[in-house]
Amino acid sequence: MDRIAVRPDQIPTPPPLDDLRHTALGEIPLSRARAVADAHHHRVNRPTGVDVQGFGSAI
Amino acid sequence: MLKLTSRCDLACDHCYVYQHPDQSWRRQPRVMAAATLRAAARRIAEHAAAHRLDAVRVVLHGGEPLLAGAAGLAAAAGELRRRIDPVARLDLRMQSNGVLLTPRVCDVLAAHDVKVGISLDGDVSANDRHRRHANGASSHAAVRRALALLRRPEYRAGYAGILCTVDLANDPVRVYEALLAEEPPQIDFLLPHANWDRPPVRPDGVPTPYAAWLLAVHRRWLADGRPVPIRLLESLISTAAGGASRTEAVGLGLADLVVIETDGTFEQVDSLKSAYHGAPATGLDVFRHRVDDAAAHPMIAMRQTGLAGLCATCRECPVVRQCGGGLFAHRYRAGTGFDNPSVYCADLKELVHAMVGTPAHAPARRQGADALSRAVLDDLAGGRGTEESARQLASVHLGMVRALLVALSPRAADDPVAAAGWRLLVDLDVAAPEAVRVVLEHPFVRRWAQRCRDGVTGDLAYLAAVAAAAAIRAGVGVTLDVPVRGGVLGLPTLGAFDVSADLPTARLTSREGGFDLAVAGRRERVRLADPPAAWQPARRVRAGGRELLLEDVDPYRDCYHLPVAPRLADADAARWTEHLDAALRRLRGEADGGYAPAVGALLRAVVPLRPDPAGRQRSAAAGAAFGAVAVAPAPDDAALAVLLVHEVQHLKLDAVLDVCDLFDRADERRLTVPWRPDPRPVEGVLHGTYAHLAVADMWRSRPGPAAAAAYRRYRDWTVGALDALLGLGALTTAGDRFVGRMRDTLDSWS
Repeated sequence: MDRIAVRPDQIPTPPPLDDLRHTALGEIPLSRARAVADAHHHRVNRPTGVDVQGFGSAI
Repeated sequence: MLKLTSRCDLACDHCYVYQHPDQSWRRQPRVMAAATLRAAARRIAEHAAAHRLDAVRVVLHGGEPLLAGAAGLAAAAGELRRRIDPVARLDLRMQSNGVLLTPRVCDVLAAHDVKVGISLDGDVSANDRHRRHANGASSHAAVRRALALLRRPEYRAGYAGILCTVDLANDPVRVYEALLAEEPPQIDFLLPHANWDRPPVRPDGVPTPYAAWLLAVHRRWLADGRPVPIRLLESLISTAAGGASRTEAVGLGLADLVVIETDGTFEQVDSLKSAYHGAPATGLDVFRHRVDDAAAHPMIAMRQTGLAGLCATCRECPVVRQCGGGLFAHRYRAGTGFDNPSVYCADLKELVHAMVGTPAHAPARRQGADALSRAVLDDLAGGRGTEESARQLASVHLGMVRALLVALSPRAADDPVAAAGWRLLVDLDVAAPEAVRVVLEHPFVRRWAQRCRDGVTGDLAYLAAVAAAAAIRAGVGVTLDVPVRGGVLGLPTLGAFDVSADLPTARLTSREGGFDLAVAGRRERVRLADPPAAWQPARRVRAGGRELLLEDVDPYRDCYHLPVAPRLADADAARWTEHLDAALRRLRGEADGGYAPAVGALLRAVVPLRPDPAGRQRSAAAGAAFGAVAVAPAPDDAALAVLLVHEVQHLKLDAVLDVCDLFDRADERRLTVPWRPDPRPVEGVLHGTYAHLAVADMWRSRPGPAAAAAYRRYRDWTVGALDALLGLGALTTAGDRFVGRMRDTLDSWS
């Protein structure tokens, strides 16, 4: 058999959310989209969430 | 609280200044004299210096402070900044009815960094129940015009929120929805001022109607996913968990407010005007007395004793740590003074009980398989990160935007303009995916989508502008209606067209190299290569050997809590380009060129900010505007290079946090950090250390004693904060590893 063995830990890992980039917008399941969209919403919209980082310094 | 004026242009019949027992406004000068203002500013600065305060908040108030006019406001804000900025951070605010707000006044407020709260009681019928002119005319349209002004990109950073007085006759959910539609960054509800001698209106047979009213809002707010902070509700949630209150209306926080009246007299909190004539008076003034003298006044001193300052009934009550005895003014009864529970005691108790179990934070859900690989996370945790790791973060961003758009699509179906835009975008995503990708990667498309998702804006129709921009880029000929906001049609990544008409939509036909626009019977042709004067193209510039957007036109670029610059003059844009080019080229040779790959892969847009009034360097990044950095003019390219690296670090960490849990989000503890006066949550400390690690790295590579000193300062700040994070017990396993690797980087420098 003519194949090159690749160890699992050497396979390049695809970026997270890769399915959302490669599935046409009209075919992305709503439940999948909502789960991802909610993650950011819930991270930021809580008492100690941080959305904007501002820097002001005389240094 | 500084009373710039003592009169008002409205005659609201529920106003505590004019319609309640204290009538001292009658003897006040109409406007604060310049000498009084100088004396007040001196006293505040003297107090800040004597107590080494990091920050002082001054609220310009009235009457109606806008009656001071643009010049009066500029003089007041300028005087306060001149006196106080050198000794403490001045958080300058104004509370207004908004009726007299104009672009000219907004320019003054933006120039002096004054944040504005507007009073509005709901939709037109709710608002006009009380908030009318002396002749009975409605104030609603004028107030909404003011709020629309504050939503403009150039002024949004100064939009502090909306203050609403509860009236049982108004439907609570309708009021909440009307306020939410104004896209405020914060809402606060006030109970109408009342006391045991002048009790609030209570319909027969309803024991706690004010609690019922607020709980209706609370239910809807939770169901909506808490789209906006509501100060009263969040303070009750916070105090229930042992945290602090952000309002004097509830909680056991110490009174730290004093009023300076128009004539320079010190007074206690002005809601006391609702108790009896002369109630707020102290007999002290800014000409003869220090702020410390006012703070020592027995009534103010008593309000700094927390639980001990409350009546016996309150001290023994199980919910006292949440309600804190209610607003001081609401406790008054002739004979016993303020040594009583609040006249709203039963309502507050019911509110506290009914809100038990409200989670301290919105629950999170994450798909476990969507995290970055350990190798990528380790690479980024070292501080610099390879171009490949940065590209993974850019992929996260695009995935997030696409998820947001799909999640919004059911709502878009209810709006014909948005629905047509969505259908076009879905088709283009198949026919011209590259054009769609370029538009969706634009930082402010995500910002807009996030705001729609959070319910902060209802501008779903902008979806049609997103689709139109993709169609124009693809050279596909389509016709669709696109939204016009404030007379301007914005097309993300392309520019904006001034339609000079107050219409909700225009009809756009895309074509190769441009588009046609039909608006108000006119037809305009826009060729992007040779545009008409009404078209403001997005500034695509070359800097550091690559293309960047110098973003001064996108309607959603105002997301930094800092005022963004208006459209630049061409000469200014050329200066910015030159400056950015020099800064980005510099990055290739500094810190072993270690930050250039990530900056190159991630930075798509630079948003010019207005300069800081006190001359400080200013920059910002927002997680929901991934790929953009906002920055005020920096003194030189070396400083700009540091600011760009600093902010891109925030973007990197934001994308990491989109897909990796590095800390326990339920942990609400805060840490004191050396770079900010206010204790920071874990996420804020993580952000600060990740940015300062890179800044230290940059300074480390620069020659000279000043660079060495800057390096040591940022290194020491980072070391201390990283150790505090590692010892806190709030990090996840992945977070512990991430922070540990940041620490390893620092250790490798010694």
